Amino acid sequence: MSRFVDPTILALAALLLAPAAASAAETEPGEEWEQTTQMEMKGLPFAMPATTWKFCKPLGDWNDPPAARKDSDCKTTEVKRDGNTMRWKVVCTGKEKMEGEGEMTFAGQSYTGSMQMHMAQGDMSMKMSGKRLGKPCDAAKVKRDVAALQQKAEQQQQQGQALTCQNAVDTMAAAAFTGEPPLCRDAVKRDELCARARTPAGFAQLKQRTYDNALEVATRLCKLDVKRIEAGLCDDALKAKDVGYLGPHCPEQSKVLAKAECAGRSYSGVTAGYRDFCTKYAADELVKEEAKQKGKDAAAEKGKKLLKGVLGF
Amino acid sequence: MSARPALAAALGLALAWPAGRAPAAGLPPGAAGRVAPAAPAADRFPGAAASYLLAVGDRELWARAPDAPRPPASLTKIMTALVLLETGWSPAEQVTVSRRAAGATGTRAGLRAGERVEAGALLGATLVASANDACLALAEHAAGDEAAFVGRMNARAAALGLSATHFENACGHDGPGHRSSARDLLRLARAALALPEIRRLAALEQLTLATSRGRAIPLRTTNALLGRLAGAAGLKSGFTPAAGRCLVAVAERGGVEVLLVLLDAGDRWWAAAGLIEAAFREAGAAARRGAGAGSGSAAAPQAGPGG
Repeated sequence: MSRFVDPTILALAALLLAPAAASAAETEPGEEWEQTTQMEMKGLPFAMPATTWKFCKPLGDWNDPPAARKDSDCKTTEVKRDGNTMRWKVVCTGKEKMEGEGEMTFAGQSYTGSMQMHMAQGDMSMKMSGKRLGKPCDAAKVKRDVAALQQKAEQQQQQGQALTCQNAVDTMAAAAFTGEPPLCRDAVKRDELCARARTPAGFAQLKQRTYDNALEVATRLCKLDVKRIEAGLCDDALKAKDVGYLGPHCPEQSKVLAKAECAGRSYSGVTAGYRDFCTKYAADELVKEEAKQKGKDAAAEKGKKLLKGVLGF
Repeated sequence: MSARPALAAALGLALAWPAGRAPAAGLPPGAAGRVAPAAPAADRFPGAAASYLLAVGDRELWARAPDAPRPPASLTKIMTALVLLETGWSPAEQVTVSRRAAGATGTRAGLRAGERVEAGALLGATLVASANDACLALAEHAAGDEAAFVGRMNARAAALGLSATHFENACGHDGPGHRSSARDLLRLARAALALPEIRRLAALEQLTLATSRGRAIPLRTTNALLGRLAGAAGLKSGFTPAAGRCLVAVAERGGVEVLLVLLDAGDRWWAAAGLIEAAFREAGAAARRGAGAGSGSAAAPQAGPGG
């Protein structure tokens, strides 16, 4: 997630970096100003260094306070002008909640001002001063840059979402489509995962993902009839002689195929494609025989004890 | 032993396991007073063979009568190869086939008396195709006569601590005192597999033996697991009427080595394939459980030969 630029942060950046950007015009004649800002935060054991940067102010009077993008989570309210001084309030909602108030006093070729911001992390104050440099510039450029950055961030988020969804389909991570909000909100991809859940490969993957209960999650998500799917897939695998699926998933169908391809043959007489299958089957049979023998031994032991109890020897 | 017919019925295989055949009588010298292993391996598959021993890495996992002396048949040739390679081995040396060697019984390469063959080729024929004529020719060439060579084999067995083992001939023919045990053969196999030349030859599926008379004799391995069972790396099969069907097999998957000795197995190939597969499963399951080596699990996988 950290790969993507948070739009709220960008909005805040717009708030601080574009003090007077006012319109959404393609280009807007402006002139260069330089601003120096000194920030202070309560509780910090050291003073934050002052920062100076240039920005492009639209030509004419200062009509607007520092403003965030209109579509961001920050809104400037209660703008009041009293002579050369402007006062305003700003409220940011969304992830980075903040409230603040500020004032600026203009003196022709310069200004001074301050802002107080109240955030969850604490209060922050900012002193600012600016001076006119006068060089002609495009005042709408900052907004265009911010908009481009935001668009790029949104594209990255969309790409990230697409990757997440595709990965969930490929790995049968059904849980990606559940939860509030779900990691993947793409209904097409959800349907794709549900379709894969009904194929041998997809179903096998679901069964393997015991660590996140993928089969259980997919059963609810896709309304799977697990028994029916299992039976159908095993029948299909038997028809196709798909030993890779039959061996681990279909004991009954495996027996049928083993009788046809393994039983009654010498080991070297098994067809090449069935060697692994028949070897695994031989191992299964050995283990089954062992379990059967153990059962017989246990029954014999129990019988002996019973007899001993009855006959008293 | 009751598992044998049941398994045979389940698999529908042409199994002809001699149910309950008792270990051959007659302890070889030194067999008494054997020290039991610290952690006895379980006899989980009594139907697999009259005597068997399976090890994963250096840990003995499953066994049945592993110390019972039995005729080893051509598994004897593992010792023949070991002795040859350890004492002045020169593979390019020309060996003249004696009349006696050419007349050896059992499995043969078809050598003729007076033919000369490179020692390396004869060793290949001995290990790959279990050729008794090649085996005897090598033994006679190395020691002057078979009896002297057998003396070397017994000395080597003693040095290896194979106390249930005694050889009466160089190539594995039945004899009243020709004996070994599954545990001795496992130890012998480990010593043999430490030699790269034996490991290489044991894994060959076929070779062509060229004689001085210009004959080219194609030979195929007697090991049905090679090229068929995943990870099979060969070693040696054997059969005589007294010994039954025998096998020492090695297989390696993902750094885990399984070594199996079967003596008198009804269908040694199915039994070996099933046992080896089951052993790798068990080792995999133990690894997944995080048992790790030395944690007390009988199935903990061990890396590589001797490791």
